Amino acid sequence: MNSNEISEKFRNAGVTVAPDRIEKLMENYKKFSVPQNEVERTVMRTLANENGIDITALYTKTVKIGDLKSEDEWVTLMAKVVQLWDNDHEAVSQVGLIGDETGIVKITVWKKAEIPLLLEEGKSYLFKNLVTNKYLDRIQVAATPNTEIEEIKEDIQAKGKEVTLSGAIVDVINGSGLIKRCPECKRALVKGACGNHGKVEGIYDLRLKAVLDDGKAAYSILAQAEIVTKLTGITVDKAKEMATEALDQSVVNVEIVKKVIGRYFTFKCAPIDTNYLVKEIIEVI
Amino acid sequence: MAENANTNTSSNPQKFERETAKRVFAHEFKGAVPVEKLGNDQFEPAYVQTALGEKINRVFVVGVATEAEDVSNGEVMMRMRVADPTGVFIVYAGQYQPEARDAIMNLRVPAFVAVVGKAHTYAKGEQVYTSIRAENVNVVDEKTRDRWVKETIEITRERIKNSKASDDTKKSYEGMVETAQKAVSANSTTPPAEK
Ligand SMILES: [Zn+2]
Repeated sequence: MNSNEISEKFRNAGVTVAPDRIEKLMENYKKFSVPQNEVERTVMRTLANENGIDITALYTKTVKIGDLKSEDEWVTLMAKVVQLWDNDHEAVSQVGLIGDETGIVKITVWKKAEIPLLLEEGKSYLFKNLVTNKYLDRIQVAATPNTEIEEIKEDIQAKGKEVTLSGAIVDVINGSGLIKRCPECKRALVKGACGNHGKVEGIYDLRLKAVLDDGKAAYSILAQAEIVTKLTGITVDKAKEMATEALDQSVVNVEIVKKVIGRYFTFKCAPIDTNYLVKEIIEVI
Repeated sequence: MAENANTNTSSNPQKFERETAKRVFAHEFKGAVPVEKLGNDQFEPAYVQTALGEKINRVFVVGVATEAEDVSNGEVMMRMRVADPTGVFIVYAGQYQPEARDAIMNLRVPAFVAVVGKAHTYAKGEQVYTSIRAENVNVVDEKTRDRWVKETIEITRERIKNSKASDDTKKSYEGMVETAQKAVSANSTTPPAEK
């Protein structure tokens, strides 16, 4: 990196540093025969401290999700929140999936990151300084205290590497059907309470967790309300009605089970960890 | 101690761990025998093995329920007969399968049904009886049944091809597949339902 490139990095982080000031600092190290990258690092650290900015802000790269490879890298992403999951970990504020046109990746927003906003499904954000890590060989990203997240106006198209799966649904997993989510963080409520926000007035939602099996392999699939409605004809409103009438939320699940168990489907899915998120129904037999 | 660390169970950790629901015709399933467990692990899944060598823990079958009856004897138990073009599956659902049990109880035979369950064997003297302990039972339609038969024909043909069974055995199962094939060909004269 030359002084101009370093200057550019600072400009990206919102700080103006003249290239000749950078050159001067670099000059100081010349006589010590320090490796060039160590010189760059030291100079940048010095300038970052002077300007009161975090060094990681300078090392971050704006990348596409499909290019994420190595762990412990600082990256900046523009991505859409594809799905938020239930999260039972005290230290975690939110967990889910974000995607851009090149892929989908799991994101964990740690509580200690103190991100002032809560991510919402379907909204796009600029994620500054996420850190990458690997779990079971799969890359993930996390928001830490160095991370900043802001909502953006662009609608990022989240396209995972989609796969087509065909088979019969052989099981519907607990947690399917009508659920309530926290109005603030969208977590599924457990006994009317959110892990983050305690007792709240929940918002109804529909979802399906099921097993699609083609006789050769079994796949864990997830479907959001829109897909559940297409598969079963049950809308969130209809499900609410059913539950109110029966004074029992589980009637919805029973009805979903009747509609899907033992039937053949072809789905276009986005692979996520060990699950497949249904994006599109291609065929129903 | 035997060097047997590589038991082939440590598959890719990303893989969703669940026994695949095998497709098998009633005639092949009926001849299956229990596979002895390797260890003392009570969580080790139980398998049966068919004459073509297929090891089965879970099955998925679609056929016609011809009989459903309450066979409770001290413990609650429903039994159902499910016919495919090659034979009959005996399906049980007891107290630990309440949803499947209710589904069988509410059934009006004959009906097209889909059954997901665990392969089960019961020995009486020299005779081994196979059955399915249902996990899920649902009423489906003819189209689903036909799809299952076609799929099971394909999978069984592949199984015969890769089987180490004797030529005579393979030949007899090819005959079974032919029978199934005729059954769906006879059905395919009905026009496909519009979408
Ligand atoms: Zn909440």
